[in-house]
Amino acid sequence: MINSASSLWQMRRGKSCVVTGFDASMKANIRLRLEELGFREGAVVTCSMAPSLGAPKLYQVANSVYSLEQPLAELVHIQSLHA
Amino acid sequence: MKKVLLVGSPNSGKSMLFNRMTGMNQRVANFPGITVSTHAGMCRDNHDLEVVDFPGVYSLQYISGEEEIAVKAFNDAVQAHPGEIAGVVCVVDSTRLEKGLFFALQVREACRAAGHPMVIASNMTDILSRHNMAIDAPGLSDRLGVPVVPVSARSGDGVKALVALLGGQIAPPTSLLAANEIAVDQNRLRNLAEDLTAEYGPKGDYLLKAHTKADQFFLNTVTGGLSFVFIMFLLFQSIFTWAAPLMDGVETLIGLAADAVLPWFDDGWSRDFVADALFGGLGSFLVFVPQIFILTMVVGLMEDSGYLARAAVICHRPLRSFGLTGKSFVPMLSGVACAIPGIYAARTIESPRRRWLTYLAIPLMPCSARLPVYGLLIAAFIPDQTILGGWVGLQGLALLFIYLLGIVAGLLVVAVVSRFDQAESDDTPFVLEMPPYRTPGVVTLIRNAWERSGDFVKRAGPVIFWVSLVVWVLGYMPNYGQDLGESWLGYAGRLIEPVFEPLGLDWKYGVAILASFLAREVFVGTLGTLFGIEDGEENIGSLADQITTSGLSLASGVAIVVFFALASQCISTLATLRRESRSWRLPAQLFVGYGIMAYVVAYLFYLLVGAVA
Repeated sequence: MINSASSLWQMRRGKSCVVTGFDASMKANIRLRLEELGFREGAVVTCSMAPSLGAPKLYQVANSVYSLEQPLAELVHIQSLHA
Repeated sequence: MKKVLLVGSPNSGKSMLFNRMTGMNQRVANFPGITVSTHAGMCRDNHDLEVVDFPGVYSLQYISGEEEIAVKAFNDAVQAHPGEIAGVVCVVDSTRLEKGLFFALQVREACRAAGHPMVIASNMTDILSRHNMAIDAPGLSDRLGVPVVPVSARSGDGVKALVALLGGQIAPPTSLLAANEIAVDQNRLRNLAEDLTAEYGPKGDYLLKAHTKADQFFLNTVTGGLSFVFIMFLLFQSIFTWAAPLMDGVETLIGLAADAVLPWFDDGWSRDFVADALFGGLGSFLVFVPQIFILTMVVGLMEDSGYLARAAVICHRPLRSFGLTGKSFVPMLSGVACAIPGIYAARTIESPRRRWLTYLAIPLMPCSARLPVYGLLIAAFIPDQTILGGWVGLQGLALLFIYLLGIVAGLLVVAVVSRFDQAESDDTPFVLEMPPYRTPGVVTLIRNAWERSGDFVKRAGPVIFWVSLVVWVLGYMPNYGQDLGESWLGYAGRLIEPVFEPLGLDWKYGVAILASFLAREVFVGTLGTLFGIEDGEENIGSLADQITTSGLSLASGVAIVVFFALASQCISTLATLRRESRSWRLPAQLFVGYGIMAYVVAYLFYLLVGAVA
């Protein structure tokens, strides 16, 4: 079930979402790299770790895990998935 | 001779496969972006093949200057005439197949266009088979029209089959992968990689679940922070506690060698030379090599286990507040072993600004060339005792504080410079792939540490020998070692003595510090030679005792340590910085700026410790 819209950074540990788009302010080359890594529109992303104190969060896409810092994760738009 | 081009995503195991195929020992680690330039070597099992290892990239569409260099190098290589290349081997990590296949599909398209054969080396199959998983290599091979060879670069399984395949004739890929395929459409390739992984890849996510569990411990606010502090503490304690027996062994060996060799010489200049310059100068330096061995082994342990990437995540937020990034952590930690690989490792930082700021911090990291100096002065001033029930050694604790001094100084310098230089326009955000946790290979760790220590000795040894020779001749003449103070070196030393006098140092220490501008570790050898001449006896391997009895005060000892912690004396580091920054400006600024800072701060510490002690 698709739920509320927000950014990747707002995801909590263990929760999954679908990428719905990117903020217009994101540079084209950064967006390209994120898409190559799997953060494409429609991709299911799971937040596997959300360390506190503003440390980058870990996101699982397909069979890989990436760490994204807050300013970048805030530019990825998502729809949360609730089982 | 035909070429084999090894390409793949970062941390797919290319370099380990390169080492397997060539018998060479290219640096490998469980961290993305370790290979930063191309390397070539002859294939061990087929001398008609030359294997070329390219830096790992996520895509043939580059987004940074360093990726551009790697991609252009690959594009230039595939311009070769068909027949000149035995095969382009795209290494994919079988445990993370989708990411690897996305890149492999791009490479396949490049090979199809250029008419070169291609092979997919499906690496890390040993990890899959350990969990009863596998990829459908024949199915994937049929689907893509290129051979897919399961290999394990770590165990060597499948490598002979890969080499045998490359030694024969492989047909280049010719067919498009699907009707109306648009090769340059990245989304189509990504979709295809996803479908191929679902159909032919390993089933189940056991590995990811296991890694997530480990991450929940190592990245947890409490356990992650505590384990980070504990691991760093262990690193510095190990340098003294684990290395001590080895150092004693080397010292004993040097003493035995001196006892065996010196009787061959009659009394006179030749005997004095061997005793003072060789055993006193070079020998004093060799005693500290075990510490460098232990340091590189422990850093290698962190790299291979996959912990280093987690440490980069933990450090990102604190480093960011100084103007750096979590990716600066690895170059800075590499700098703890040696600044040169640290500077090369900074190429993985996509942001030019943060890379430049990392360059400023690396020369202040407490590199292993400083270790002999610290080890010597700690042995001279800090008692070999333990506290807290024997768990904490005082000498290791002192070393930790000295290391922290360099690290804190590096961070403060970067913080100040980044405040003045606020240009954020070309900044690239922090994205780091988390490598899987792996059990480090003990043999590989020991071999790497052995080779890196050996490289260090080979690089520093000749410099120390020649400096020891020059220092010995200047200190021995014209009175044949009768009076060091009246030697040529004594006269020269007294000329520069006023510079070091404010730090409470006599001319001998001044000469040793000046000589260390060639390479820091020369300090120990020079001092060993000078004391050897002065003592006029074969007092080998007790330089720390000689320093203590020479009357050097604690305040002066601290001043030397502080000076070495902050000064940028290493010519090799400065030359590497020039090459990476493509200008002499940065190394010149660092040499002068850090030199002045080192002298002033050392003087302040001298006054402070002198007032307290």
